[in-house]
Amino acid sequence: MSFWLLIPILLPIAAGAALPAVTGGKRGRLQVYVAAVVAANTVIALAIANAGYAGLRVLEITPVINLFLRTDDLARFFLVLASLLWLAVTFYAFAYIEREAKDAAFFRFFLMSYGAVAGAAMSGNLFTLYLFYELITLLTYPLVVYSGTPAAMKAGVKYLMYSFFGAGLALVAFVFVAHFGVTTDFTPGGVLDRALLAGNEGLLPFMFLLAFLGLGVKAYIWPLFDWVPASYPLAPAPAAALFSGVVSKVAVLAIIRTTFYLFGADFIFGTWVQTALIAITMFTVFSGSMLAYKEKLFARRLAYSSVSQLSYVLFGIILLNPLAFLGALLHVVFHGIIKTALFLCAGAVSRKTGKTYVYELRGIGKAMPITMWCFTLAALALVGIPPTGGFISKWHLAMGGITSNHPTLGFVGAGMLMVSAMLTAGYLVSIFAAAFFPGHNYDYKKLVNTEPGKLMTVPLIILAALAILPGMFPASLIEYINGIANVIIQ
Amino acid sequence: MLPITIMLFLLVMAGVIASVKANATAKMLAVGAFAVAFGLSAALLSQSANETIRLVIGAAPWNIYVLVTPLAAFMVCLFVGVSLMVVWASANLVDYDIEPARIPMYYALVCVLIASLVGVVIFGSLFNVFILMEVSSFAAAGIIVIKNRPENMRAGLKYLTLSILGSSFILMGIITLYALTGSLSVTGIHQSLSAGYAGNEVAAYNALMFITIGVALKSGLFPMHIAFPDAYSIAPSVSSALLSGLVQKAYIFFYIMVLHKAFGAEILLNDRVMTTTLQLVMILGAAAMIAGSAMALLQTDLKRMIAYSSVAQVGYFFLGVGMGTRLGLFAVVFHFLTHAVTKAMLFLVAGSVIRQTGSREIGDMAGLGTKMRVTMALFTVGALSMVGIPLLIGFNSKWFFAMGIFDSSHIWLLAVLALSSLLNGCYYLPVVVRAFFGDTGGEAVRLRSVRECAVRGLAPIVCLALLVVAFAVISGPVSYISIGIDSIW
Amino acid sequence: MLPIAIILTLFAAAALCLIFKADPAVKLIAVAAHAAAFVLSLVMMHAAAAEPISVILGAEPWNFYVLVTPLDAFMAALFTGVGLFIVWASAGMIGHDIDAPRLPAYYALMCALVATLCGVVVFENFVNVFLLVEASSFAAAGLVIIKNKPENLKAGLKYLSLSILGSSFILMGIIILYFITDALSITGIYASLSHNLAGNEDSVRNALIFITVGTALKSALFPLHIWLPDAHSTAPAPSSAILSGLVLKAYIFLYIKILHKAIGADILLNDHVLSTILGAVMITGATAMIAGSVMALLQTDIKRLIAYSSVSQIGYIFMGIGMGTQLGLFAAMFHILAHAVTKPVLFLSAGSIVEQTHNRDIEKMSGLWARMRVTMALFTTGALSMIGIPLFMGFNSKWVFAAGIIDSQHYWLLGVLAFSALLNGSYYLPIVFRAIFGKFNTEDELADQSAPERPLKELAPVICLASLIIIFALFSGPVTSYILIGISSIW
Repeated sequence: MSFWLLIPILLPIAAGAALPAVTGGKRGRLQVYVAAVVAANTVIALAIANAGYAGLRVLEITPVINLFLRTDDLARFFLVLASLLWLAVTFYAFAYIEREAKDAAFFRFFLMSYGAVAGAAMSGNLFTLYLFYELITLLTYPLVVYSGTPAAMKAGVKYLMYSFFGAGLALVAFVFVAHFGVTTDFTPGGVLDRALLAGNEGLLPFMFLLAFLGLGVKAYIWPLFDWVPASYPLAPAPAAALFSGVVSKVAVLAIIRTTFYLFGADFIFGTWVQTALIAITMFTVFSGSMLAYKEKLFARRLAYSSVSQLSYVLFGIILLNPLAFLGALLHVVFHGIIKTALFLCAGAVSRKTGKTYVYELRGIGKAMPITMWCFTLAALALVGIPPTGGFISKWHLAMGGITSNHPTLGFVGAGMLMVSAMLTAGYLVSIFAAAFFPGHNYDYKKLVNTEPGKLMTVPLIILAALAILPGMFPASLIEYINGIANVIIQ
Repeated sequence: MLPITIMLFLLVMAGVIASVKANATAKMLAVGAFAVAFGLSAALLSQSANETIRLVIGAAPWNIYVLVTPLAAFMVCLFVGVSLMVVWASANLVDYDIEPARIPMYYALVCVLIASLVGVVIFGSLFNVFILMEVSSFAAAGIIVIKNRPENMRAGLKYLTLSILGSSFILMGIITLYALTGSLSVTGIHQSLSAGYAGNEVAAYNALMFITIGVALKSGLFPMHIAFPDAYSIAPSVSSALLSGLVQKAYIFFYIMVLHKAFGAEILLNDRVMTTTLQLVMILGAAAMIAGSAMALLQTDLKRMIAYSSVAQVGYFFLGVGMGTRLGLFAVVFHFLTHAVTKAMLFLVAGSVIRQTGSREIGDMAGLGTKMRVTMALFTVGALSMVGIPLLIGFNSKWFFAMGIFDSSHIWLLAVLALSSLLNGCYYLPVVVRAFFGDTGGEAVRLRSVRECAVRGLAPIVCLALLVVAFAVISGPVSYISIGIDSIW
Repeated sequence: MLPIAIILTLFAAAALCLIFKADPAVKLIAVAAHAAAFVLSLVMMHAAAAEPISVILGAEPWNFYVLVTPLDAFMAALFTGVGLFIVWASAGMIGHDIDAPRLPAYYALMCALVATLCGVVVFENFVNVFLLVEASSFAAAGLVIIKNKPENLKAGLKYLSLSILGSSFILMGIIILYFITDALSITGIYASLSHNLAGNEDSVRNALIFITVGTALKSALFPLHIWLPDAHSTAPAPSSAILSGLVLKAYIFLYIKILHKAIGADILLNDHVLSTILGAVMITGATAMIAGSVMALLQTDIKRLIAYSSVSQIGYIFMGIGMGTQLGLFAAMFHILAHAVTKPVLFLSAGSIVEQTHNRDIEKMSGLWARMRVTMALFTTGALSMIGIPLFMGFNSKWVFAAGIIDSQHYWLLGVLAFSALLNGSYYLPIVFRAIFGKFNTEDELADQSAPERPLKELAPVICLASLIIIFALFSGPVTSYILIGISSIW
């Protein structure tokens, strides 16, 4: 019994629950406490990832309803990614949440969400995944409504309702799997039994569609991404960064688990639902980019950008071939890092200058050079300029599309990726261009240095570096992902 | 003798409590009575797990006939256990709702009510059951009108008259069965029906139909729920907890007994008209799930909202019963447990909130989470259970229903189930959200004088909340209910 | 000679009342006469069960002809027994309603009324029966009018005129039967009809229609009930009790005798027009069950409410008769008993409330339980029986009606039966609940009267009747078997 698997889940949740009692409202003590918990938990997570495969089953109520944690390759991959991003955002958050009175409430749920995310990453069966998926919804909700304004409350309700709706759809599909499957533990190649399924084959694609769209709510899939533009601009920047960088990736993990470990690629391959989902993800890629291009509010432009980028990943998954899967997982890593960095930059700008609209950012590069340089690097990586990470992932996605079982759609998809990359360039380059080259009529005399402190800039620099460097040396990452892909896609 | 003892003990205690003058003594006696009764019920539960208990006094058909299947023992335990918690909690709430002079009478009525509910589930003679159903109707109406305000009177009478209509329909069904089989016990009726009833199909159909309508009326199946929201919201909160948490379930359990013990699955499921009736029940249940929730969404009064939520939950029961499968029935019985524990808890929390703040408006609860932290945390547990979050008992129910639906191949019901839990979220979560995250702003002044409940009032509710979690993570109820279903199928 | 003795005892008592006039004496005479008559009726019941008692004076058709079957004896015992309790109750209650000088007349009318009712059931010759029916109408009207208020006069005259109209219809029917059969006794008509029917079917049908309409008018079958609420609610409480509990039943019983003894089941059920008429009676009865209750729901005057409830109860009885089966008839007969016992309890306890509080408005009866515990308990007993709660007689009634319905396979009537229980509940229960749980209205002018409970001595007869409700419910065996014997003797 590998009970230590519970530590990265229970430690942050318990620590979060105890936070007000331990820190007693003292700011210094709070920062030390939170930093210590997150750092310790990250170390434990990394140690668990390093220890290799382990499994733990507790609370066995029925063969289906029980808590099962395990660390297969995919779980370790997400655990490490989530932990590192969480650590980076933690320090930034200390600086960002500076002036707020309710910081204890924020960090409390910030810690608890970490536990839920770790649980989701390590979940080994359907019930456990669903449990942590719902927990993430509940525990991140307070982060969305942190400001407590009526607009934020409204956005929060929208977030809750979309999430519950999605989880409800997914639950229906999960029950389907439980009923027609031999087990609900994640099994490479799927758990469905053709003999049990006899007579209900027609139901399968439909159920898969429910699961994909339902879980896709948190990965911003069309037509269920309407809550994104409402809630992101109102959430504090560290929260928005985590939503886009980590929480959406948990949704991706859930979709991967559902597709390859529950339904099984064989059952989906070549059905109408695969075609439909390819089309839907392509459409989401395009519409997300277009909406981002037209959006003037900085944080919301980044949110729409995430809508588009997450569907790159989903596109890569639903193509059901190893190359595209490689691209998808690479994009999970790079987009996680890049989008976290971008949101943190936007947050730094609005926190320091109060500017939230993109047309207000003229000349900001002179006032916040480090922040904007990090922004520029991350933005270039997201557009996919070689040799950044974005280039590697998009390359594999495009190749995967072209070599897929849907050549026509695949080609169109690859083309769509290109168009979307152009749009990405359009909506990001314009920002840093204006930031560094404000034009002749810019009044340099008014310039005040508003560069944030080290708590903000250091995480930004690290994230920007990570956005570039693995793109140059991707070999070991690719090898690791191929190891996963080879097991689940024949 | 054990089952009869429980019932008679509670009735005797009712008499004792009614004659007591001091309110504190009455409360203590009531809690003590339920504690003892719960001990006896637990003994009954362990005794009946191995064998069905039978006791016959007098000659059939007009006799006293006790028939305790494991399922019935489970129900007895549920009734007595939950009422123990509720009565314990009432010690803190009842003074607020009921004038002091009536408190002994109130506890006596509660004892009578629970005794009659126990009777409804333990008797195997439909006539015995019917008499106790009537007693329970009157006792239930009594604990509604005891608040002594005109609206209570109205609500109680509405409840009682519809309940009596339901009883009458059930009686018509029982008489028809009696005319058809010459027997009043479920086993006798089953034997006679199994031997064949060719030529009398119409009588059998009518019996089923009348009993169905009667039970639907008595347990408030949409669209026959009209008396229930008023009754639940206007009654003292302790009464609401009992009425919504327990009373309906006794009638639905009676229905299950008629369907599966008196008729029996092999008759029920092989007759086209009867299966159609069951499907109709299922469809009405599905409609109730949606309609109840939709109406709950429109409420601004906390207790009314919870009351309408009960209308939706009753739909779940009928949905499961109407599926006519073992898994469906299993889900229903498990949901008995879920709903009894959760709804009792929600009503008690609502009662505490109303007592402490003096307001029933959901709008007035903004920022209450800062003042009544524990109470609102308990409400959150209940709400999340109703929404169906894993590790809370509501999720298990939802899961079992979904499995039942796949099993019965009425796949479209999944959409109803999903929509219904989404709607549950739509009305429960805003309350939680407003209490904890709402902008208190102008409310701060009003909230200043609000205090958290006393610990002695919170303790029983905390126990119920622990049960909400415990029953979700231990497998005892699941295996026991499976045994119970086997015993009647 | 037993039946004649019963009737003569009561008539003699009526005469003695008018002669003696002194207050305690008339009471004693009336009660004693009823008690004696009741004892005699019980003896008669026993005797009739062995063999029918017949007394014939003179030659057919214009003669005195008494024939007592078990069912007749049962009805006579019912009339004298319930009459006994009502007269006994009058002793305590009537003083409030009637001026002292009229008391002897009141008791005389009571005795005469019960005498005529017994006569209606025991006589076999239609001319005898008709004379007694008319006499009973006048006596009953007298009991309404005796209160000597304008509304009583109005209600009494309305009652009397419609009652006479009803009698005339019945007379037409009898005359038609006489023309076909040349007989005036029930047995004679039956004997003649059984070989003489061919060619006379239309006449028989007409006769039945006339008799049905006449009976409906006299026993207030909806929609011909219009006189009943006024008469029963304005009359003094004991009068209302006897009018509602007994008088209506005599005419219904006569109808049953005509259907099953004069015409006979074999003719009745095999002629499609006759059976259609019977079906119409059943449906009208079912309608009355609902309509009467709905109208009762709208009342705020407690006595009017109980009166409308009678309209609904009469519907039950006609429904049972209209089913045209032995079980249906049994249910009707059983309900005649149930209603005869229950309705006086309600009228007498309501009368008691009205008298003590000077208030007839049910809205103002909150909290009465605290002041008039026994009276309210009696009222509650009656109400629960009306609703059909187990352990009360009304429940047994409901059960046998349901059994009758199932037997006759008119399943939809089960729904009507169940629904009418709801309606009964929805007008009786508010009174009970308000009394128990409501607050006594201290601002009202009746508060200072402090509404004392009546002395138990005065309530004793009502308590006896109320205990009969429960006794007959728990030990219905003997009554049931006696009625069944009676029915099989006439079927």
